[in-house]
Amino acid sequence: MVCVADALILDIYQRHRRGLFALALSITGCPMRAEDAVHDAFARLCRMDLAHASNADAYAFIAVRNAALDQVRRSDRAMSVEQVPVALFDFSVSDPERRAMDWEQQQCVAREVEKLSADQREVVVMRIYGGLRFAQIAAILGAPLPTVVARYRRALQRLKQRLESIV
Amino acid sequence: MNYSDHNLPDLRIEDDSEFQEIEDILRRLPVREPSAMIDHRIEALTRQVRWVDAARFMGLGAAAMLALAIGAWPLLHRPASQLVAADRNPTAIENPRQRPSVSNASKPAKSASSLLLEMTNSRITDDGVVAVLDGTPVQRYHTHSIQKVWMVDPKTGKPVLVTIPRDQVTLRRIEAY
Repeated sequence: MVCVADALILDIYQRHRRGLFALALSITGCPMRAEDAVHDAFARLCRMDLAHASNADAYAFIAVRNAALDQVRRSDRAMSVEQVPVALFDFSVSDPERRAMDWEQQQCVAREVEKLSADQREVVVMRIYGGLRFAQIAAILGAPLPTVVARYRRALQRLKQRLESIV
Repeated sequence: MNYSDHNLPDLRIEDDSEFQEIEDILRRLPVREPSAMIDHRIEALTRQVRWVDAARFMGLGAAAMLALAIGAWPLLHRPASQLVAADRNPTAIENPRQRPSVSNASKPAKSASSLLLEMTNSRITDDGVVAVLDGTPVQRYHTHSIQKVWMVDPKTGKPVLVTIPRDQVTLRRIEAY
């Protein structure tokens, strides 16, 4: 039997699974740890009473972000050998339509996204792949709204400049 | 910081056309997808019985057990004499030839307050219509019962088993329709 709170949590996951995983992956750089972070976060959310939360989606992103940061701290303590981070984007998926369109552009932008600072990257990930508004992102990061908007604009400015230099 | 969707300082920042093109490219990028395994893990999490609910059920169970124990306490600690008196049916006609007898040598003391356990096995037999009184048929019931009482002998302090066999005869008028 699934109660109302659990149904709400499942609904949040299904709507944001891509964005939540992308956020965790952008922080941990490891798909397995990202999935563990998402799992840990939702295990925590299951113990909370989200039914009366005004912004349950933002809670989910906060929980996943914190769990991902915990994963990074734990891995830093446990492993002495530095791991190569896994890219946020997977171009190995064969999609002829996508290849025909702007393959070069996409690869260039993807590389630049990986080079962004962690602060800027997580804002971009939450905005683009999480579909969140700036106010929600500000609440998640605990940062002032203008700061978040400025980070996003700087990140996109950099990506745009890079793209224009190629074209 | 606690911003909500309703108190944005400037809604225009949500729709910045300057970066429309780069945002579109970003949305088309093949972002890595979570595996099916994590989907199953999250579904399994939500299917689990929530700890809080389980604790609530455990608390209710404990309260019910406590109430049962409190309710059973006076019954278990009634003196044997009261138990015998309570079982007597005032409407019953007792057979004078078969009086209750105690098989054990030590008869239970009237003030026995150390009753441990009592058990009664009864068997009722219907002897049918045995007489007619004032034109009304009378039916006879025979009740054979053995009451066993485990108690502590107040003198010796040893546990004693007292067996009380009882034989009751009940006569009942049969109402005519």
